[in-house]
Amino acid sequence: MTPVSMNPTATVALAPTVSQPQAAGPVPGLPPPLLAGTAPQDALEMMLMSLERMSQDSLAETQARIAHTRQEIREQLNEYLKKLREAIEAAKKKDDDDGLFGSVAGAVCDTIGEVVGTVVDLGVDIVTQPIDLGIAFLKNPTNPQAFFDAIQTEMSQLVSNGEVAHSVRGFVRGVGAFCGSIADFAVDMAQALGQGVLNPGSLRDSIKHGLERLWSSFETNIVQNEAFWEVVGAVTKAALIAGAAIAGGPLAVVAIGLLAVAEAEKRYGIVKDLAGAQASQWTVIVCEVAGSLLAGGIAAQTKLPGALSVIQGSAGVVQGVGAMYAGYRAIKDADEKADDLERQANIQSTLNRMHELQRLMEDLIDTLEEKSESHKTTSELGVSLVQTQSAMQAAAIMRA
Amino acid sequence: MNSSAIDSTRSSTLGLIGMNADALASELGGDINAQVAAMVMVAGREKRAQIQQSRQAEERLIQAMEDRQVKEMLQQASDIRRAGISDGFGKIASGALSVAAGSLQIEAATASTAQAAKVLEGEAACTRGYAGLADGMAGLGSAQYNEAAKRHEAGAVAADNSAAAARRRLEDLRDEARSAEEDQRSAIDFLRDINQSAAAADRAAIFQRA
Repeated sequence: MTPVSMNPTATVALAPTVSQPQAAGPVPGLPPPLLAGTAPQDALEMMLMSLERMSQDSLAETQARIAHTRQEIREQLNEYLKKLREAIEAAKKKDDDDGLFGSVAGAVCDTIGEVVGTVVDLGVDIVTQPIDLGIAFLKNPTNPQAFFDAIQTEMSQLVSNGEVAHSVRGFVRGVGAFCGSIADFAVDMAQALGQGVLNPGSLRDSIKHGLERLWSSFETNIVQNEAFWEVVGAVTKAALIAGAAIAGGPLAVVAIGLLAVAEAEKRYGIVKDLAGAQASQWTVIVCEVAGSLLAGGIAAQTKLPGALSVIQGSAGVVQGVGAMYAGYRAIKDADEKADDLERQANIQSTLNRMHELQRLMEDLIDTLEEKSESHKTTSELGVSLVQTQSAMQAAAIMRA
Repeated sequence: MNSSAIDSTRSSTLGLIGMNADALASELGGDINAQVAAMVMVAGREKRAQIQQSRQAEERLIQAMEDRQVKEMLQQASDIRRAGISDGFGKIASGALSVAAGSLQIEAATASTAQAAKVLEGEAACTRGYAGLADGMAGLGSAQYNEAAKRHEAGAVAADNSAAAARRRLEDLRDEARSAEEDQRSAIDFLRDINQSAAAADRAAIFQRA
């Protein structure tokens, strides 16, 4: 230990000197000199005071940092709550969306029970139908009568088969309900026009509400009616194959074969198992495009019965409208999902920052505890040292 | 984010003594007891310094992983949006072409001459083919973006797991730091007890001589 002269007054001098850190008039922005305002009597006193001052400064600095960190945590918490509130408001807004294209979620929830059963049961039959028709044609390429018998059988199943009949019922119910909505709209408009002569504002409101109801009915009964699309899809495919079959010839066999391969791949996924999802998708695309082009080309060479051609065309138009709506929904749904994920990422970022500050706070508290303990140890050591020296001095005096 | 959540100024008066074991032993009295205490204190100080470095490294890793997680989530959101746009515009294009094909077909059915009907049928078939192509291409583009989105999702999960592992290691290091601090404190206590005993013996000797 460093030899120092004994001074029994050191412990008394320690307390008042450390309590005057500003006495020497420190320079603003700089820490005060360690021994400013003190009058150390010897090396021991000086050393103890230095240790005490360093300890005090260190404690004060740690406390200031804790206060600052606490403030930062509070700010981050406010930020976190703000982002959470924004996310909740966005989710609420999504539920309340009654715009032109309306809320799909609510309607889907209402009809999900009915639609799921329909889709699962009928999807198989609707996909099977063109395959069966194709197979029937391939089995009887030179016998049109046999093929027409097959078509008749397939079509009769649409109303006789319990599962397929359900799809047709859904189709009829949806179309009927939408026609009813159109009729309601027409009646409402007639009434509104009568009243609108006296009150133009009421006419505008009536038209607006009428159109909203009509759109809602269209969405529910047509756009979201799976049975409607199943039947339209089946009719289109059947009409396409029938057109090619009527034209006849070896190219018709190839066209129907290609369409059958596309449907088989969709159903059984043979290429998917062998060569992966992308190869499967390409197979379906190539077969469908080539089959459709070939079937259409063949049909173009042959005059199809007018009714069949109109059915093909009408079904194509309806399917096209459905596909456009599905595209719009795909963009909107993806956008909403991406927005949700971005909000989630922002919230996660704020949470990470909060956790980081929390760790810093825990560390600062540990530091404060450690420094406090160290301060205590230093004081105890100082006291012990002075007591020991005093005792030695007393012993020497006693001896003398 | 700041560079490190670990308090870089963390040190006590026990750790302020930056001298080597010999110099410290000399300062503490120079006898065998001071040397033992100095050795323990220096060992504790070095251990704490190592732990401090490890903790700062772990903290940097946590921050990097958390940043990466957020970045991956944002990338995933971007890919989902692109997949939706690709799929949606493809379907819209396909739908529009289907509508056109259907219209041509209906027109063909009502055409006045067989020749005109054939031409219209041919155009309808071509348009239908393009519709299928547009749908398929959209599906391909969408699948690629969806795959990328899934990859980023997996990356976000991996980053989260890495950050969690680093947090656990940080907790372990905190415990180790406390243990090292206890070692240093024990050395101080040991030295104090020894000094007090020596002083008591000296006093006794003085009285004895007296």
